[in-house]
Amino acid sequence: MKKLVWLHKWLSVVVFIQLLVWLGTGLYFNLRDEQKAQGNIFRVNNIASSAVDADRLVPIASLIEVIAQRNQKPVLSVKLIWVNNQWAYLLSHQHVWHSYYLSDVSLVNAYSGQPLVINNIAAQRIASNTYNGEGSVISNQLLTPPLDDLPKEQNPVWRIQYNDALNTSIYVRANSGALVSHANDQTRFDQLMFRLHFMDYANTGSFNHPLIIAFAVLTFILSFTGFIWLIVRVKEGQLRLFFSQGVAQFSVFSVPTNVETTVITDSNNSLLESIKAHHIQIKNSCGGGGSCGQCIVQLEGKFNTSIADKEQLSLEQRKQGFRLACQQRSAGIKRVVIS
Amino acid sequence: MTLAPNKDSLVSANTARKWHKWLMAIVGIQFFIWSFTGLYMVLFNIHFIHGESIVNPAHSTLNSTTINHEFSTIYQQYPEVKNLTLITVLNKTVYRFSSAGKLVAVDAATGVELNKLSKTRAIAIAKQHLAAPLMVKSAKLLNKQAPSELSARHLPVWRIEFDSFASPTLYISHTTGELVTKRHHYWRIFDWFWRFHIMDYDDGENVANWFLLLIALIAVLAAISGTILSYHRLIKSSDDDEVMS
Repeated sequence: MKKLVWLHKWLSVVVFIQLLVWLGTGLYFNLRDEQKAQGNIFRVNNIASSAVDADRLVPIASLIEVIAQRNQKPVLSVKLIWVNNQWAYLLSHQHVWHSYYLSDVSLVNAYSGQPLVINNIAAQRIASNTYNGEGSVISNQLLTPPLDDLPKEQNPVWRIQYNDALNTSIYVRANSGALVSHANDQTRFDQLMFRLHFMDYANTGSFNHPLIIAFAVLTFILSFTGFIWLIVRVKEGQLRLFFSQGVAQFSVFSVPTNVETTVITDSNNSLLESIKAHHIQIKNSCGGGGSCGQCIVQLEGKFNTSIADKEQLSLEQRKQGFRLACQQRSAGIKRVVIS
Repeated sequence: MTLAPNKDSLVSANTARKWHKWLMAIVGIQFFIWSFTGLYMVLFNIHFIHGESIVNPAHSTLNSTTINHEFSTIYQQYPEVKNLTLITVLNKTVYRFSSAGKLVAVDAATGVELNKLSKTRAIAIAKQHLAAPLMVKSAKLLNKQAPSELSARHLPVWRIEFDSFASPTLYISHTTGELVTKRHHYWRIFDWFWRFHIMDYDDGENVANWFLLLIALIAVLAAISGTILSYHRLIKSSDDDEVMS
């Protein structure tokens, strides 16, 4: 028990700041406005497209051969997509599990068969089609990862920056023209909360790194030792989950002051609490955890012996009726001597 | 003789101890659950959890010689075509799209809709995708009811379960023959732990639930009282030890 208490105390010193951060950010996730946190505030989701003119579609079989030969890469799939206000074939050369993984694609205008390059003008048009805020574009940049706003993104992206009140940045993938996301001050705050929750100080978007694993292990041991402690307290009757069982009355004689005091208290209170509530001098520094071993009193009669009593007091002392005041309930006590 | 309670600090060790003890009596179990489920989630790499290591990539190379029918024919033959994609499924080149909200798969060589996937072919496809050679434990066609681990929009699907410790399960589209999703016990445990972590026990989709709010607020007080207690025990105890309080 002594070791468990020691471990619980010292682990709390190591993890308490992160523990409070986890709780605080957890409360934030509970209370946040999801629409704002996801950057949907100025985002249009239904982009109008023109009907496909089937007669004008370039034959795909020959196109696949041309593209495969030109790139020296196989084609795994072809999708007809609406991008930059035109229909295009998106040919993928490589399987990726997530869209943010580095992808290898070719983009071709579906009516002309010509490569469709997402340049700054195209990227800005794609971005503007999804934007219904008040701002206007102030910059337009091709960026390579890593990016602060998109920690997981591995593809080069265009960042279209708006001058609205939220500093909206719209990201468009340079190879496919796909909209990645709208970032703004609200999403950046949300992202900061996630980074704190995940201890992701390197901003990689991951929660599987050694630092958080180390803290998670320590926190698990902290809560496990606390949980065991709680069970011990319940077993020893120091945590009664029901209300007052009435009043206890007993006398306390203090040897140093030579004063006898009558104490009237709730019988569920610990003896230490009752004594302190009557402003009677008693040594104590741990606040009643049974770990400092200072609140020694002598009781008349037979009383329970807790694990802490056994650790802090000798068998001889216990036989003479010495106990730790913090480990006793006030119920059933007749006379207490503090030496 | 009487003394005033400890005036050195705003909250005495006794008060902090009392609050910490009683608040933890209420939320201690949840603390234990948070730390245990959190440990699981950080310990196992999320890509492993999502089964990316148990299956091979979804599509193989397109063979252009098998394309006798064009994208245009699909538009000419079907109404309201959306998400038209050309893929390879078990050596066949296939157009996969939705027409009037329904998923359709057409063989690019013949221009004919694929037959609904038989059990034998579903198992063959699943085995082709699975990274390890395992025996099939069960194969079941799901038509109406999706299990909680499968989005209902994928229905109808073949559920192919393999005989292994983590019970890897692949879901193969009845219409297109594509691998729609995969699961194993590590992911299933993750999903349950997630529900317990955010205290939303039915589907784990609502972080904004009042139960979590209530317990988290009490937990903050419990943690702060514990912090104050540690401060008393470790920083102040040297001045306190011999002081009567």
